[in-house]
Amino acid sequence: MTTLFAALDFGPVWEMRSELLKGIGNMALIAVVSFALAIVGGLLLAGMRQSRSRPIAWGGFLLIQFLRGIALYVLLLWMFFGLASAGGFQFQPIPAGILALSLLNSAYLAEIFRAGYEAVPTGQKEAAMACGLPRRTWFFRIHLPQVTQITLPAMGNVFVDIIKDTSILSAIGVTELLRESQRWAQFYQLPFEFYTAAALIYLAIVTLVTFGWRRLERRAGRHLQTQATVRRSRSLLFGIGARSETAPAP
Amino acid sequence: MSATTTSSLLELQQVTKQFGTTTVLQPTDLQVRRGEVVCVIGPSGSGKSTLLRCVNFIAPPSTGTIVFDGAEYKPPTDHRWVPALGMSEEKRLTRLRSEIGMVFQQFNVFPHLTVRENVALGCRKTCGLSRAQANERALAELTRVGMAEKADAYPERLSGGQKQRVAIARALALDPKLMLFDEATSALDPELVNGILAIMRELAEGGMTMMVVTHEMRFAMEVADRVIFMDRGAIVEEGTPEQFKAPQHERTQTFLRSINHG
Repeated sequence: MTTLFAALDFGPVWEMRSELLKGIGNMALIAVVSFALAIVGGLLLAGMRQSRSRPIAWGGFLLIQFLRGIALYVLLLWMFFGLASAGGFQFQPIPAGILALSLLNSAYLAEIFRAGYEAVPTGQKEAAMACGLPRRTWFFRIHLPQVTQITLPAMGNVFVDIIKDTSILSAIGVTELLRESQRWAQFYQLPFEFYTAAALIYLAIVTLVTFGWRRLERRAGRHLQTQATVRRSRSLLFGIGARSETAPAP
Repeated sequence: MSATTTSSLLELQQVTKQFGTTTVLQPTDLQVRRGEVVCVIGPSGSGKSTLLRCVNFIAPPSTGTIVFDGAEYKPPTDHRWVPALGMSEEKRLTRLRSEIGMVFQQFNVFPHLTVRENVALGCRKTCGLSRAQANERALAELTRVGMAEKADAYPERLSGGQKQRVAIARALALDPKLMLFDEATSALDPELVNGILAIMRELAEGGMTMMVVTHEMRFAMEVADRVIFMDRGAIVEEGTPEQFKAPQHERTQTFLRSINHG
């Protein structure tokens, strides 16, 4: 073992840290923007599927089926190289990546939201109706908060998937973490060191996000007695959603 | 006709309800006067709850007409292709629902809102009160049902009886002209039932018009102005509690016997 790993040289990895950091920055940007767009798209698609209007519901169903059946890698190559050669439209790498990631994941999120919609007891809607609440008030004040609470764990999984899937964007030349690692691995002829570093960075980011997400879940479920109370935290990521209990009565 | 429309708050004319091919409510006529307390009894599956849900269009009737406070309401058209066409109709029904309070067997309090927010939300969205006014109204209603000190708790921390009190306060906060109680005490521990019944009794004495689906025969006999017995989606017998001590219909007799001695 020792002789095998004795030749390892992690020095260049450290030297290239600012380049790798740039890659991480791009990855974060792409992941967050794609996730945000995917949530909007997912809500729209789920809303279409639930619509009382038949044509809209069918449209939603078809769109979801279609998007779920496409491979990310294929979509990326098709958009970036295919469209450029046949349609004469050249995407920039980052917008193409964001569009592809958000399109495909909005279909997954739509299915998650739909399951969440159905998990809210029907009595909630009946009570909202009986209180004379208009449809939009029911949806935004009663329904959506409960759907959010139910779907947050599954949404976290999608976010983690998106973060890891940004690595596929290296195929169309987006300078995210994997692309940077590849570049310097070739330059220094140190593939083991750079890819190990990349793998560890992905692992660290996903771990951090998972913990932060757990905070968010707790905050969303703060009305449930069984949940542990959220403690205050000053750290950047672990502080997400940490807030004291509702203010006491005036 | 004019006499009935002025004295009765609610009038059901040939109201039916079907789910697919099953008829859960046979053509039903019913009038409820202002200030009257009507108790609906009957075996489960007899259409009692459906009757109540038709009144405030939570489960819109399939056919028939409902006249509430002088205004006529028909079953809404199901716009499956262009739902936007149903907007004005829906707005009208939303207004109707804000004038009718409803209390459910399963409480149906909003779990993600505090007790106060549960009550205040309706005031803000349907009566157009400001946040402060709505909170004030909510607190007043909560005091009335003895829940003021829990105003900032989440429903998860309340007992069933307390949840039901919140649900009653939520309904009363809209200052309804009619209150519907759908087996409001059926999901409660026996110990908690009396507290809720006392609130309902107080409401009735205060002159509230009420339709109460219940299995509490003693409550029905003491508080109701009129008792209705339903079976298989139809009204079998109706009369004063006095008349129900010696029911005419055989089905009513067997039902009352079974719950008195069962």
